[in-house]
Amino acid sequence: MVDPNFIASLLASSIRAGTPLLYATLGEIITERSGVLNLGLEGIMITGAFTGFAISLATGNPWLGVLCGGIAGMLLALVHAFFSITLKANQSITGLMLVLLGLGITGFLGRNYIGEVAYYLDLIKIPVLSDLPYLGEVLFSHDPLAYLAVILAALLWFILFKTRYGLEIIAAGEKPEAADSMGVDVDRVRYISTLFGGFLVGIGGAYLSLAYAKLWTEGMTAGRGWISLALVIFSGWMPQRAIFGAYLFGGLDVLSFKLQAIGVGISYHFMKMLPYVVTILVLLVSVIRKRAAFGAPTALGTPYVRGKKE
Amino acid sequence: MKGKFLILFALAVVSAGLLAGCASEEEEQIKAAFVYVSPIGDAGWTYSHDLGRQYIEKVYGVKTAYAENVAEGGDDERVIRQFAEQGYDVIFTTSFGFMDATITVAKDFPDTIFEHCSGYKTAENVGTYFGRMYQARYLSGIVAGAMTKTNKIGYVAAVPIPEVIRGINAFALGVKKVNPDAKIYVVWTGTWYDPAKEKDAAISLIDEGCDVIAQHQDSPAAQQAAEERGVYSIGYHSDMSKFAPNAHLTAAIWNWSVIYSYIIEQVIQRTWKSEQIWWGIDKGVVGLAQFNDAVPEDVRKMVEEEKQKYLNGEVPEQYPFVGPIYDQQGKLVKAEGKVMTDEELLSMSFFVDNVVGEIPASSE
Amino acid sequence: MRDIITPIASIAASLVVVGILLAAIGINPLEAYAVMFTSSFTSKFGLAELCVKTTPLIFTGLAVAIPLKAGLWNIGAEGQLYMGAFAASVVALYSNLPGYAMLPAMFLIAAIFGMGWAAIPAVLRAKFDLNEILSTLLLNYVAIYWVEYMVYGPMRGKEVYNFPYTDLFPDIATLPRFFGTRFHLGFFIAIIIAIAIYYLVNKTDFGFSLRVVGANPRAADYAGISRQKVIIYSMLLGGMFAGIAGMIEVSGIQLRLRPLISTGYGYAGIPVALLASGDPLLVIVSAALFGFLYVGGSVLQTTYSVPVAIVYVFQSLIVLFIIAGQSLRRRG
Repeated sequence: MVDPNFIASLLASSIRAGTPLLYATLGEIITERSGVLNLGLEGIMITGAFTGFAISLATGNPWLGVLCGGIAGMLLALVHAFFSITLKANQSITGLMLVLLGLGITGFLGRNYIGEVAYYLDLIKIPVLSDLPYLGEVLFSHDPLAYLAVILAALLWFILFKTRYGLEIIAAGEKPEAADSMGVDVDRVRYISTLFGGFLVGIGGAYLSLAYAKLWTEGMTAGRGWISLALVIFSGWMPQRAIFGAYLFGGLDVLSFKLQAIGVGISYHFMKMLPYVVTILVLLVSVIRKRAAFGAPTALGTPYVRGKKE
Repeated sequence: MKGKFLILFALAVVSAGLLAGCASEEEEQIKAAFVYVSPIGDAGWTYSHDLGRQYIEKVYGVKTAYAENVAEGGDDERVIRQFAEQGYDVIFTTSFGFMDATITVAKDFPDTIFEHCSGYKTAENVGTYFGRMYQARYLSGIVAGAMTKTNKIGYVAAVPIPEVIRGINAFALGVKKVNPDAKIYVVWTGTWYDPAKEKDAAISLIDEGCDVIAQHQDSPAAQQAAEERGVYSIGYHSDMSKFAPNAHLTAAIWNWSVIYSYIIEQVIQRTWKSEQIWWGIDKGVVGLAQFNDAVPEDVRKMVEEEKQKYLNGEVPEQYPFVGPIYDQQGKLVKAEGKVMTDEELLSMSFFVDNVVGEIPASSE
Repeated sequence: MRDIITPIASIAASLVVVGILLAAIGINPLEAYAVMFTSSFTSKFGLAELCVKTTPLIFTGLAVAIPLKAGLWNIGAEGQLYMGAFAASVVALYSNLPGYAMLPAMFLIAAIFGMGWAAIPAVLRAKFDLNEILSTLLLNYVAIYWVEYMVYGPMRGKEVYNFPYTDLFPDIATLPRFFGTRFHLGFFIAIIIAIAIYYLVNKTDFGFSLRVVGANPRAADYAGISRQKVIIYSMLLGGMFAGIAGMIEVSGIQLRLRPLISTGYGYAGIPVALLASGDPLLVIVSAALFGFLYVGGSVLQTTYSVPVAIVYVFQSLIVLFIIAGQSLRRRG
């Protein structure tokens, strides 16, 4: 009954729409796993989007743009790390200020980049495989960053759960006192996680301006940072689940467009609401069923002060 | 090196001072303020108004100021009042939602001129201005209707407000004029600020067989989608061919400087009177961007003929909204030969019969 | 005394940094500050607008401050504000209540809806220990899109040329304004409520349990205070204030419901509460400071045509400095 072409193009579009979310979500998972809550994703993403675009335009090299987008994200995350780890300040609020800061800086610097055409990442059609019916379109005809995101998710899963360093990150986020007494430098782990997280979030932004929409306009991240925050919860702080979640959330919009395009009326207001509602429901189910696997890191959002009990 | 820089800097300061001095020796400089609803960086609506602001500053030597991203209903009244208190001669408020605040502040500043874009309330010192963008939309619809092979034309639209709906209908009537079999498929994105979504919406339409994509969005993302997928597109706001050199057939474009120049000239000559300006293609406020080479000669001729009708006054300004006009349900909205009124145009909330898609959550 | 010195010192420091940035884009900072100050304090309209901006911030400041007393972060004041505004608008437009009952009914229903919206994270936190930062944040978006849906659809007005607004409220559903400005009754309501809350927190048993739970949850257990109850009540109170802020904003300023009724008041409530160290009376002062930042930001725009982006940078830097100051104080 349902046209396989419809499904294939829906899935392919979902992957494209989900990729920036996936980068941001993975970055925030690493950050939050170490116990730091960074609500500033939206600001970091837009900074990555702008920096990536500007550098690509200036150098003609989109890959350098992606790299610099990540570094710009890392710099903004450094502000957050300094406040929340070194100064032990409230993390929600510095995160929120990063949003304002990122929108402000990029809005100011970005004005001269409106209407410019930069250099972008091209699609990589994997030979042979991309010619497969349907599957080729869905899985093997994307830009390099889309493939990389999946590999990265797998890698992060491995690091978090299969290596000693991952153990330290998780310990810093769950029981910082215990980690400390075992000789883990909690602040150092948190710094590294927050900076690396910011790097990934910045790349998610650069993906938007260099591989997805391929242009620069002010505020073009349009709430993807907030959706990614929801996605972190949705995926239960697990990189591997984030893949599914990001494509799902990315696909919701695409689905509403596709339904409209075949003449099925659908309220886009509810579509915009849906990721948040779904995430809340996931939260509800997880707490009611007491699934520890879905829980937030215990020390999330609380600065670690040595020698101070709860 | 540093010393050189300092000398240059000092020279710059001195010459700037001299220039400023010259300016002030002439008669009192006219000051114009602009209140924008979104940041100039939106690349669309506010950006095109700001081009108009820069134009009058350059051509007429008017001192201009602006405030951007001003919230409707909350901050607008304060910002407009601040400009009025600072002695601006004319204040342009460029969003429908600024209407009530503009009227309120205008009452307290009878000697200041206020110009509100796209509204309908006026006062002794408040005029309104707008452009009949639907005329350009209509002409671009002719191009789309002539160029489609699949008879499916996609339209990526932001939010269901009358300006957008009017544009879709005018476009659809243009398509119908040359190709009664073609349908216009509308996808709402629900946002003005999300180029990536706009692109997805365009791709969805292309995947469903649309081979011309039009848009009512600020960014050229939908054009990019058409370019990448090898179909045609119609731009909006400005010539977007840079983003889609092969796809971009033409664009329905704004040229606000025409209206701003007209108003500023009157302000300078002290002849300003409150008017309701709603100009069309004959004055050049709206128009079409250059045609792509792919647009054949006969299509260009057809568009030119229709355009001439506006210029010669053969048709009313409201054209193509002249009966018979049917809505999607086949109901006759305007009888043969009857012309829709400006008020009907300004509050339009139905689709004409060759549009596929719904106006979400419409109150009817 | 140090309580006063640190905030002032950090504000002074932020003024210096922002001043350097202003100078960098060619604006004399002293002159800019003078303009910001005179336009807010030396005219009737400037003062009125300052109060107009301060009013919702007092409410959202309280909405964050009260749960904060119990150690909870209410990031959801924005959504609670929208739900309050929505409920109040429904009453204003469709209830046909007589004049004397209209405003009180709107007030009440807004308080209830704000509370209801806060009840979800409150219960989740109290019963399941679910992080309230995340749940309140998520609910903001649901509320905002809900209001957007309503004004584009069922509540769209008949006299608005099909724009996404409701019709104007009837006069009986609008708060009285004074002095020919937008200064309205809501300001006094905010002040009165802040004072009342000051007493509630400092002079009642509930206030005592609130402070104990916030300061030392284990001590609360020993003292026989139900942590769950305190968590729920403090969040409900917070939601109530945010809901009232929504009602005051639509019936005092907007006079109708539209998609964007708050310029981030709910989020701004967080630094407001933090700067006031959660003290309800100081919330009035810090709300006024942030109100000044808002008004001053638009004065910077109208006077110097600086991009709004610069205003964002300034506002975020000022808040960051204040936070840094507070953190240093706590540690020092």
